[in-house]
Amino acid sequence: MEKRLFIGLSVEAPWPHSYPKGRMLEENGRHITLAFLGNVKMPDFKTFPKPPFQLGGAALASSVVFLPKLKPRVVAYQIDWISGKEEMIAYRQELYRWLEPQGYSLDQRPFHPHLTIARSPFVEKDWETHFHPLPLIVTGIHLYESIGNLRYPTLFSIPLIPIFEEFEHTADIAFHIRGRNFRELYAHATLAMSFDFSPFLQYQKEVSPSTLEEVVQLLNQMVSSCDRDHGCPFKAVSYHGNVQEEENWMTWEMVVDV
Amino acid sequence: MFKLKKIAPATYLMEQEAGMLVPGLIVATEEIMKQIDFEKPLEQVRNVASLPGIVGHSIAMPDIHWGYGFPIGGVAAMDPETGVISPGGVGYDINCGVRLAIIPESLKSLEGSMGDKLLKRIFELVPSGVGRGQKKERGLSDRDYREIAQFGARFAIENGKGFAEDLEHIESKGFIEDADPEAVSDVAKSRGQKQLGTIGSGNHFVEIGEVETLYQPSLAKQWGVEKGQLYLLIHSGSRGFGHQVCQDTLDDFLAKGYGKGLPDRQLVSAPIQSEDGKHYFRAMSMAANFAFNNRQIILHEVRKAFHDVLGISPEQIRLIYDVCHNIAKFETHEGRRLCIHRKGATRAYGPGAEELNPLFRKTGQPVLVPGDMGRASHLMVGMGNPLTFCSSCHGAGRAKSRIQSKRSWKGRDIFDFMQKQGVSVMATSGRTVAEEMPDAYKDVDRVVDAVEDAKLAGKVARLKPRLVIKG
Repeated sequence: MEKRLFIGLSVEAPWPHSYPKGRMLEENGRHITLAFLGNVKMPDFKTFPKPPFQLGGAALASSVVFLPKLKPRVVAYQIDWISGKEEMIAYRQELYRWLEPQGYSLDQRPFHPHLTIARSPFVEKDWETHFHPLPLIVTGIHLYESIGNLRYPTLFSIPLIPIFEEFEHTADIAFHIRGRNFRELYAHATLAMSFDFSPFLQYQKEVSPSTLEEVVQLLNQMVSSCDRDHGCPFKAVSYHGNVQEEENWMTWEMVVDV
Repeated sequence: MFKLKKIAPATYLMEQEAGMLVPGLIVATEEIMKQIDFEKPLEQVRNVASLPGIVGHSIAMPDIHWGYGFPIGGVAAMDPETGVISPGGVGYDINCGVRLAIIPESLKSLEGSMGDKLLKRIFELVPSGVGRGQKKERGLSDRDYREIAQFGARFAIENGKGFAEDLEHIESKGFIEDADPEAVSDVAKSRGQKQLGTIGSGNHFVEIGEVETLYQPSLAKQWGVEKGQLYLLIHSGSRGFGHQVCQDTLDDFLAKGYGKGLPDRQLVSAPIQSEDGKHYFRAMSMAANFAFNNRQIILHEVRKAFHDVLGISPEQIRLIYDVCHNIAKFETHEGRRLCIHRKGATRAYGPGAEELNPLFRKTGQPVLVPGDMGRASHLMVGMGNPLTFCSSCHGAGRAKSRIQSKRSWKGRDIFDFMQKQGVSVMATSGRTVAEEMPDAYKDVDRVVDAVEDAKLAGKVARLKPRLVIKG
């Protein structure tokens, strides 16, 4: 039996509480499509390519777009990768190499990742006014089925390790931050804090710190600027904790005084 | 697991292990110790005991929980010649503290819509929550910062925000000497520029309620506190100004290598006698004076709200006391001058302490213990216990993490729940309220029982919240 299938990335984000008019996708069904298979027979799961990476990566929904351009039916966020871009592109190519010999007809246009958020009817201007950049983290790779009414159950999943996870702290907030280098630790820590307070994101800098102390100092400079300009729920990022070396990445226990 | 030996009611000794220069002293009951994970904060008590120049014990209060370097609810006394001063022993929110005032009215005056009107008016006058700074007021100038350094809380009073009498009812008369605006970075000054007179977010609040129970009626009478009166409790600190002072110092101390060999970088400290140590003390004192002014201005605005809504004149709202609970101060204990770090701990001088005004010198100083926004807060009297360098607890202490609290209240109408408990809550952020719900905290009644059993402070009055503003 044929099903309407696609392979995509599940994401988490600090989704806004309200949106302009549109038929909204459920939060847990929002995804970034890697390969659209169409109405086809199920692929062979046994040979589904395993990604060579375990960390999920991070991205920024940087603008709102309406697709297709000529007669838009979809409101989508354009995706700019913060980390994991090269790995994700390479993995997509590997998926294509796996799918094409099986006879699937795949979109050959260049990969412009986006995240569908709503379908028509909608008013473009309202969405443009409402839009604010949104941090995203990738949590898994899935084979999705489209069953109509904007519902996308998953048929097969490969979970990825999130680039940050909040953990319990008695008085403040605390996260396990993961990254392959200090640049990623800094970027991912910024993202974790932006999930809590989105204006924080705009203070992120293009920098490549080389020590954890530099990471902490950079984050605290962001806290200072944010507090001066907007007010900030974070007092400071503490110097607590060291970097733990894992298999292919580092984990840092970040504690933020609030 | 730490081995603790009970040495007195609600008082446990943590024996001195290798690396510790003094033993630990834990003020708590067995019941309290079972309520939260004590291992991490006790590790911090042990770490603090290893700091150079520490005297007596590394002390933990019954509201102890995990902090940065030092536990929150920790006290450490340092010898001024051989000891160190640590920003982690003071905390980011320098001179975070509490002030209590009494209003000569009963709950009846808040009946009907008056309570909500008052709450709304305070919410208008006192900015609270993230990003709510002073929009109408001009920002602080360099001259203002110099005057804050020179005069402490008198700066606000001389600008028409309070009465000279208020100063007699503030710890250290609202003024820490040695404050120096030159010791503070421009970044700190810019963060503080529009933050005087603002509550902030997190666990800071303005609370109005009823004096519900008197435990020492004659003492309460001397202080002018009567059963059934309204009270006002303000909890805030030095805002972004103080946070930046702490951050700047931590960065500087670590860059200079003071963190080497420490079990936790957040314990980083400099010798009190060093230029770096003295520089921090001057900057910290500046932030402490900023915080005294912050609470003074908040009090002024709340007095204004009472006048606008209930016609109560500002001078009728009497300040009982203002205490610091994040600070390092030089004090004399049993004839010895010491630098006392209190992080999440309150000074609790008993009768006879020279610094106190004549009334409190006779009775002992008021000790303010905010609990949670549903159950109670407490007014206590200091007993001047030398074992803790005249220190007591600073609150109930959290029992649940912020995530746990948010999770457990998700999808429920928290404002309605509080209303049904008889407490009207107004806040900029519903999330803050969810994080601060009463069950996120230990039962303050049990905490003050421990404090009383350990003879740090005695219960004077139980205060029941009715109107609460959160950040």
